[in-house]
Amino acid sequence: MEGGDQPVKIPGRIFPARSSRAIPASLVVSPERSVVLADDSTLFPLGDGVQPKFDMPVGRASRRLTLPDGSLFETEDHAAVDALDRGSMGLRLHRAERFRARLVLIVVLCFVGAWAVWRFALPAMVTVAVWLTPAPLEQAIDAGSMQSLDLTFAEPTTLSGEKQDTIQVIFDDLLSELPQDQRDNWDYTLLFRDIPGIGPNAMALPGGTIVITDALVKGFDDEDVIGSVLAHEIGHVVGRHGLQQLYQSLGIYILVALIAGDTGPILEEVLLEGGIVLSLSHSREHEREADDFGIRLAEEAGYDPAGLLRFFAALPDSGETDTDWLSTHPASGERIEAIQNYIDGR
Amino acid sequence: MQYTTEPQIEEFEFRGSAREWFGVWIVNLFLTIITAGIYSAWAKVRTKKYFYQNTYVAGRNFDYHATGLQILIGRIIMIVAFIAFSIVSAIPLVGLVALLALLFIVPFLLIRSFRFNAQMSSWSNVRFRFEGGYVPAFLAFILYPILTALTLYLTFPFLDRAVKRFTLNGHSLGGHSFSFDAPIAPFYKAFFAAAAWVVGMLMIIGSVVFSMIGSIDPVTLAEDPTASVVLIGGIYAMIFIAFFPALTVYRAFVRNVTLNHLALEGGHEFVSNVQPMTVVWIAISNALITVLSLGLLLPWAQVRLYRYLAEHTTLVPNGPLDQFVGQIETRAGAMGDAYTDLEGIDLGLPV
Repeated sequence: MEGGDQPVKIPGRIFPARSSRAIPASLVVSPERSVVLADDSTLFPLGDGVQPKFDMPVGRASRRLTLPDGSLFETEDHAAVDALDRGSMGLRLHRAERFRARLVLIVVLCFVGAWAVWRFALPAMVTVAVWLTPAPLEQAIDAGSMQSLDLTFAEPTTLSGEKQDTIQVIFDDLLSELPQDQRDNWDYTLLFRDIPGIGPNAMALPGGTIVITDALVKGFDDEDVIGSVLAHEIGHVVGRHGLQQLYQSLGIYILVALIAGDTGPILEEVLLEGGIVLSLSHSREHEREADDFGIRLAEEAGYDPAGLLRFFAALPDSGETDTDWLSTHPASGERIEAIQNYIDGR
Repeated sequence: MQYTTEPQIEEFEFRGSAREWFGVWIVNLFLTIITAGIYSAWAKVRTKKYFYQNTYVAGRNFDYHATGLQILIGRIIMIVAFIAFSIVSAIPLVGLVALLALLFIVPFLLIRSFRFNAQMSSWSNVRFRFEGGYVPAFLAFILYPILTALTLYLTFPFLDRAVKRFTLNGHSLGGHSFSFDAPIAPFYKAFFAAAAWVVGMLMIIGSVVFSMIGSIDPVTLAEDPTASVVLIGGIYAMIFIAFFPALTVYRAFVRNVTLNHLALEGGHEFVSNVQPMTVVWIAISNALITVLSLGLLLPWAQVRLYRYLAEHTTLVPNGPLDQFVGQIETRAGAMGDAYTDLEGIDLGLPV
């Protein structure tokens, strides 16, 4: 303001302390004394020498000034308030938020930042969460998952008790080769289920429950295949891959909630529940880890790790379907090569 | 001016714009990322202020008064408590005790949270207030949900009404209490409308899946990979098309019931007349647009829904709205607030 000593008059309205009654009023600002003068002639002083300090502006919402006695002065005269407020943090933030071309830069930085969060912060969070998860919770997840599996897709097994015992022996052989700590950490349980639609398959739950489908047992009368597939699944348990997938999807939800805020109905549910559904598919990295672990374990227990390769070879090509063992356990050429290398190199 | 005896009505109105909100939102996002999430507390305040201050009824707007620091402290307390709880629950017997204790602590935290949110919100310079007893909170948030689960959620409308009674009746504005009570029939109407959506969609999805699988020779069906693709696709469709929108259908119906049976002491009443199918359409198209725009149109989608809800909400005042007088504030901790953040419970404005 050039005439710095001239009092400035800002029109608006005042709500007396703790009252919902609005009275048209003006704020008169001068260096010595500022007051709000209401149309009913009431005076609301700011105190001698006190300069009015408005709340931080947000968009074009009305500007608000709380007086010492709790009264509220409100005005739509943004230019006048901005002039009083020059150089404040709030005003700088407000300017940065304006819908202008330079917001594109912020958008780009946000995408870069979101990528970095996804790449670095999320895995770190998942690691900490997995480390903090107590064993009883893992077992509760197993029990819950088996309940919903039995309720939806899974039928009781049609395998004979004798056949089940044979597989159980292989499973126990594998477990006995585990190092002590890995054996004690989880409550390994082998369950047989008839699950139509997913073909020859096996899956591992976080708490140590491993499910094998009837189709796998019937289709492969080969101890080495069964042994190496089960060893692979034990690898998922030991690597805590199930929990990692679960936390990954939960983490995405929390990050979205924290960063983007309320995403609105439906999308919110898709992000939360949908993320958990999607998390059931395994990542390639986890498969490689489980392969690595599994072929070693199978070999130590006296089963030929080449069984895993025979298993891959016997399955139909992936790409046709989204549900076979190969897609939930993506078998890239790379993976087969790695197993082959191990077998050749021993 | 002919009908001077007709009660005056006051529409809720949202004066913000998607463009403006985009700027605020993207800067919030940017600052949140570069501060490793710490700024999110301030971002939350700014978001609430933007929507509250732009929401007008009877020519006066709402405001949100919490500070970023309050929210941040609340969140830190909750995170520390969560980690401590996780560690404690790893100890076999102690864990069980801790879990039981949590059941009894949750109602207390919820009351704190409602109180904090109410006290930090104002309309026309007067703060809201929340007061609720522990026992009713325990019934509404712990005991009734357990009983409802035992009835396979067929009595969910009763639970929902109990929760709304507790939360709404506990609120007041400037010494005037809100009061809510409604017969159970409209809640069940909402429930059956949602159920009808689920059944209808399941029938459509089912017939599509069946017609696709039906073309496959039944002999090879079990081995045919296409069948399992269609089956899995059907399951996803069930979740995304049948179940998620059904929640929105239910909530839209219940929103109307709730506001239409809500009154503010002094004879002031509310009207909500959202069309559930329109809300579902907005929600579905918003979700698609947000995903397809990589999130960049989220602010537009949020404003679109918020504006629709505001435009279908009305206050029917009984006389002037100048008589509300705020009470001397008591201190409210931010701890409860963070709890609702984590639980996704946010009472917010009635819009």
